[in-house]
Amino acid sequence: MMKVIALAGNPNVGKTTIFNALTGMRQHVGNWPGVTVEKKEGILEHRGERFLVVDLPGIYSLTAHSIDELVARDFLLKGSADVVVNVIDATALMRNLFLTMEILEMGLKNVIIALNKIDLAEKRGILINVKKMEEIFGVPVIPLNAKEGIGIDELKDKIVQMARGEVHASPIIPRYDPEVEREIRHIEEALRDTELAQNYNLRWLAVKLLQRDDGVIKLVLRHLGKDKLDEIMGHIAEVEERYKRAMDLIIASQKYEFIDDLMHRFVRYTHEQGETLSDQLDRFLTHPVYGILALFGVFYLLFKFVFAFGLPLQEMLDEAFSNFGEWLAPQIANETLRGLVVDGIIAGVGSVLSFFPLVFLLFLAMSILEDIGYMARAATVMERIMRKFGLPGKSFIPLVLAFGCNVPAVMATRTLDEERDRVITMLVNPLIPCSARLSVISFLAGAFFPGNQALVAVSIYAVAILLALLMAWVFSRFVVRGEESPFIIELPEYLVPSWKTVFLHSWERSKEFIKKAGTIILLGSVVIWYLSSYPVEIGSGGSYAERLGAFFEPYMRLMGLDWKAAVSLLFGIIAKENVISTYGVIYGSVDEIVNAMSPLQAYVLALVTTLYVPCIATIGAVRAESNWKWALFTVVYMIALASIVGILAWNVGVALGL
Amino acid sequence: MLERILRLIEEGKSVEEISRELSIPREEVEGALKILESMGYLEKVEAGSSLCETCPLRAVCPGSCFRFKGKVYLVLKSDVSEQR
Repeated sequence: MMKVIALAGNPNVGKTTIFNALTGMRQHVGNWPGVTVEKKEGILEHRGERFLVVDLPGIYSLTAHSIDELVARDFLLKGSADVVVNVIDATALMRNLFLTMEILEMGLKNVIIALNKIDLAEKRGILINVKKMEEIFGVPVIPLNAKEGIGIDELKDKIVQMARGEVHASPIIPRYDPEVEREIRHIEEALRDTELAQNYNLRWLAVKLLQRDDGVIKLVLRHLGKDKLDEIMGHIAEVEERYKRAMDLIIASQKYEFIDDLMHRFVRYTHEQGETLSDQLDRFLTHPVYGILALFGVFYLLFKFVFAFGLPLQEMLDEAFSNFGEWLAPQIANETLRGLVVDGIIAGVGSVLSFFPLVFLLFLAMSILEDIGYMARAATVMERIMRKFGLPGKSFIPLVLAFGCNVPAVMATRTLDEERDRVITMLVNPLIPCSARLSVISFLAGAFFPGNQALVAVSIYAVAILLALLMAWVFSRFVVRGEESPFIIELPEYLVPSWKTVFLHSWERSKEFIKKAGTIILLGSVVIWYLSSYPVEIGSGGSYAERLGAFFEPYMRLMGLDWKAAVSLLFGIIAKENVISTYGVIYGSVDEIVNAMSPLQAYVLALVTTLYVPCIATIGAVRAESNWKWALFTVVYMIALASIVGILAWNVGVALGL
Repeated sequence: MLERILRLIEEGKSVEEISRELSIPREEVEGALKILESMGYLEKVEAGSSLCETCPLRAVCPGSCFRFKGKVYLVLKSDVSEQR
């Protein structure tokens, strides 16, 4: 019968690379019995011997909280492997050695440590004395660079020697503080006369019992009986009370300290290389003060780039649509059809579509920032601020998603367990400007603020985010109260963007804009054209659009806006881009819009569009994820907030003579 | 060490701040997060692909969601009573 080699290790340590290097093409993939965990097996032939190599699932510990851990643990515990190759990542020793200690604690003596990525560790200033490490751990340690195939032959040799029983190993066992050790001895004594002593390592069973491991508790119950087990568990509870922490955390923590002590004896960090460029960048980009300044700086440059390259293209497209309309008008004899096509569809959809270059460039810039890894840093800076305003930890992802689209962002709140967290996140979510509102902001900033478009766009984003934070604080204090849940963010590495991915992603996102223009915006433009052309032509005050707008005009006047803004905002509820198309239909061209409004009015309109009622799809998502009460509350509070901000901005602007 | 890391997370410290406070590399703090997650003390918060699959705007949206490439871990339990 073939001897079995098990590969055990954390995920992403190069286990698969080593498995492939050992087995070549002689592989078979199946499932572990009874579970849907992938089981990879292969044949290793070396020095005239054949071995069955089993790749165990990637795991971080043997606590058996997941199926992967349970599968790996059972395999090792049953002694199914003649040799266990524990693959560890030399660049993250402590977490990798945690699993090593768990394996050695089982009492296994047939373990080889495959120290992979040794080259990368050296580059990062982590110098490992392999010989010393071998002495300390009492098992063979083989340094590897599996990617380049360096060390694979040495590993194969050691596997053969270990399988033949030619390697004498005396593995180190983790030690805990006296109180824990006393408990371990106490449990070991209780188990010594049972059958368990013949089949299991008693120290390992004792440690797992202390950690309240379900599988071990059931096992001990069968052999020791309920009374004796209750007595042991009573002891454990007393120890936990003294530590004020659960036993599994105490043991894991002490194991970590044990590893840390060991590492001081065989690992040396060279200071210069210890702090990478990435660390230095992170220190600046995630700094509480510089991080915020960097965030505004980056977004200012982002909008600057978008407007600098996008506006000339937008103007060209706008001109093209306008010329097309002028050319097409005489070709259509029917007056109604001409009005519908030229004044409705081309003016409405064209005014929105002319913003395609800006939208594409914005998505391109965002994709680059995401790929580089900056967006995660920006999100970290925002998270720190969000936390201060009472937003729950889990709300972080839904709020970040909202910058793309509020609908999936509202849906993402279902990952929040507490109702309080879910409701607060859902309520403030629509205040985060989505990509649709970005088109309106870009339109108004581009048309009314030549030279300062970027600053205007950033200021509107800043106001919206600030209000989202303020409302979160208000809601968490006065509307829905509860406990806050702490959390932490692990940042991705900085990477050179893949241009193919960046362009593909930008195009995918921009396609949505075109699709929307061809569906919702087109339909909206037709309706707006009808309302502004019937029963009489716009301008006489008798069109449906003017009558509808006139109803809201007294209220809009408080914000310095007129009936046209009222109608635009009403249609914007269907889709925010309709605000632009409505203006396009009513005025016909961007130049006429610029002549009809002052920059202050345009700024107020941009603010109000960003803050007022969410689009109909978002309202539906809020209702679906909560109830009508909260959906209605969202609409009402956002109208109130947009009104207050609009009236304030207008009056302050007028007072300042803007 | 793990207990201290958990306590520092509860205090709102970032990976970098914990790394500085405990004088260990950032990779090791990130490693500790994975161990704490495997022990059930932290939970990784994920938007997940299921979100897109059930989104009502799926037909018109080929993926405009913001791509957050980091990992968010939430503290699930920290004291004796919660553990039991």
